[in-house]
Amino acid sequence: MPNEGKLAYLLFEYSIIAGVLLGIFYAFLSMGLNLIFGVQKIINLAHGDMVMLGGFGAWELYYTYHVNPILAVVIVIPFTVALGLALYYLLIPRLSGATDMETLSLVLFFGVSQVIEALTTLGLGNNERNLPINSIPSHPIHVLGQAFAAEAWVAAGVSLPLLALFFFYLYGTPLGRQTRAVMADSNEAAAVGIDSGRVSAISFGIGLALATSSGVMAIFVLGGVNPSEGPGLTIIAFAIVVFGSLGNPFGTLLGGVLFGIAYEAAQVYATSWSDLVPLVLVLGVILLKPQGLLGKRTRVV
Amino acid sequence: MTQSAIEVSSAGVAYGNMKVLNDVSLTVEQGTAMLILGANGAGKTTLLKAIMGFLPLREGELSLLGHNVKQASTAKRVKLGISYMSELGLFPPLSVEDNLKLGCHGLHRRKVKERLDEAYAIFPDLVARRKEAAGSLSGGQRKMVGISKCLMSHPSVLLMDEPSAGLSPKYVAEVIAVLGELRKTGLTLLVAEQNVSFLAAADNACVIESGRISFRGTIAELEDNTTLHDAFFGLEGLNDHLDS
Repeated sequence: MPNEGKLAYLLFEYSIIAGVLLGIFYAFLSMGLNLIFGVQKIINLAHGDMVMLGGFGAWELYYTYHVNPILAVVIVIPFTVALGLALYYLLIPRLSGATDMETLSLVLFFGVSQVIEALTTLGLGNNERNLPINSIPSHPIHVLGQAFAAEAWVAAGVSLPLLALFFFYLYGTPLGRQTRAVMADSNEAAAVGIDSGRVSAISFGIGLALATSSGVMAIFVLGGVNPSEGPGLTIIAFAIVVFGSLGNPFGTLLGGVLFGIAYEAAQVYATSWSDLVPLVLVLGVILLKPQGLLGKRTRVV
Repeated sequence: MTQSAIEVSSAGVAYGNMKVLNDVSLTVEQGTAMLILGANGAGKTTLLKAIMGFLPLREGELSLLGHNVKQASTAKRVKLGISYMSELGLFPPLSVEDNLKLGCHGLHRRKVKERLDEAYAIFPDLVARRKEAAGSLSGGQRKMVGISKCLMSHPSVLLMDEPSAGLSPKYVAEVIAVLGELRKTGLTLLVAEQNVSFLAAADNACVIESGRISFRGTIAELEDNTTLHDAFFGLEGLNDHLDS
C-alpha cells in the first residue's frame, strides 16, 4: 500500500495526465468560439448550443443510421459549415451596419441560443441523450500504472488531429493566411483586396463546425447532453478563450489544457469546487493579466 | 494625352452628419508623384480612404486609371492596380513573409515566389527576418515591409498615408530614397504627409485645410507661396529643403 507521499504523487500525476486529455478536448470545444471572435469581433453566445446540437446529431446518427460516433465527428462538419454559411448571411449583414456591433451581437446570439434550445426541446424532447460506452473503444488505458477512462483518450485522440487540421488551415493555407490577416486588422486586409465578408462567412461556418464536431465527443466526456446544456458550455468555452487570450488560437490551446489540468486537480483534491474552475480562471486572468496568458497589449493571432 | 491615374472631382465625404471633405478636386497624372500636405485632422487620411473605397463619396466623382470607381468595392480598386499603405501598413502579428504574400494573394505560388525575390532584392535586410513577426521589427523595417507588401501586387498607383509616422530622420531619408527609386519604375504616388521632406520625392503638391483643398500646384509654386512657407516649412525647414 502506498504511503501518503506516494499517494499524493500518484494523485498529482493522475490529475496532470487526465487534465491534459480533458484539456485537449476542451481546447477543441472552445476553438470555434475563438475563431469567430477573432475574425468578426463577435461573441457567439450560441456556441454551447452548437456543441449540444453536435451531441444530439451523434445520438441521431447512431440510433437511426448506426453510424459510429467517431465517424459522426466528421459527418457533422460539412452540414454545420453549410448551416453556418446560411446563418451568417441571414444574421451578420443585419449586424454590420450597427455602431456597436459587439454589444448587439451578444443580444442577437443570446436570442439564437434561446431559439436553438427551444426548438431542440420542442422537436426532440428535454431528456438527456447519451450513447452506450461500447460505441467507442471502451477499455481503460494504463499509463504509468494508472488507469484512465477510454472516453478521455478517445475524446483527446479525436480532438488532436482535428485541431492539427485546423492549425494547418490557419497557418499553412492561403485562405488561413487571409483569415489571420482579417483577425489582425480587417481594414488592412481590405486594403490588400481581401474579401473580408467571404473570409468571415467561411470562418463562421468553420467555427460552428468545430463546435458541433466537439459536441459528438461531449456526449461521452459529459456523460450525455440535453437541450439546456448550451449556456454552461458557452461559459466554459468563453473562460478558456479569455484565459488563453481572445483571438489567439494558441492561447485557446494553452487555455484549454490548463483548464483541463485545473479541473481534474479540483476533482481530485476538492471535488465540490470543480465547477468553479472556469469562473476562477476568468476572474484570475481579468485581475492579473486582462489580455490573457498569451496576450500582448494588442490582440494577436 | 496621358490618362490620369487619379481624378477626384468635387468630392464630399462625411462621417455621419459631420462633413470632413468638401468639394475636393485633384488630378494625379500617371507616373507622377503628388504630396498631400495638411495638419492633423485636415482630411488627408479621409481623402486616401475615400479613394480606396473605405469611405463612400457623398458627392462628386472618382476615377482611377480611367475607370469610374465611385461605386466600386475596395477589392475591385485593388484589382485595377491601386495599392494603399496605411499608417500602420502591415499585419503586426503575421510574419514578414506572410505580410508580403498577402500583398499579392490570389497569385500562383510560382509568381508569388518571383515577387518575394523581387521584394527581397529591393530590401535585402528583410531576408534574415522573413520568419519574424512584422510587429517585432524596428520602425524603419516596418515601413520597408509595408512598402514591399504594397509592391507585391505590382500596382500602378500607390497611396501612402503618413509614411514618416514614428520614424527617425535617418529612416525618413531612407523611405524618401526608396520612393525616389520607385518613381523611376513609372509608379504613380499619392502621399499624405505632414513632413515636408517628402517634397523631395514629389512633382506636385496640394494642401488640405479643414476638408478643403487650399492649394494645388507644382513644388516650385508651393515654395513661392509665402503663406504656405510659413505654415509648412518655417525658415529653418525651408533653408534645409532648398539646400537639399
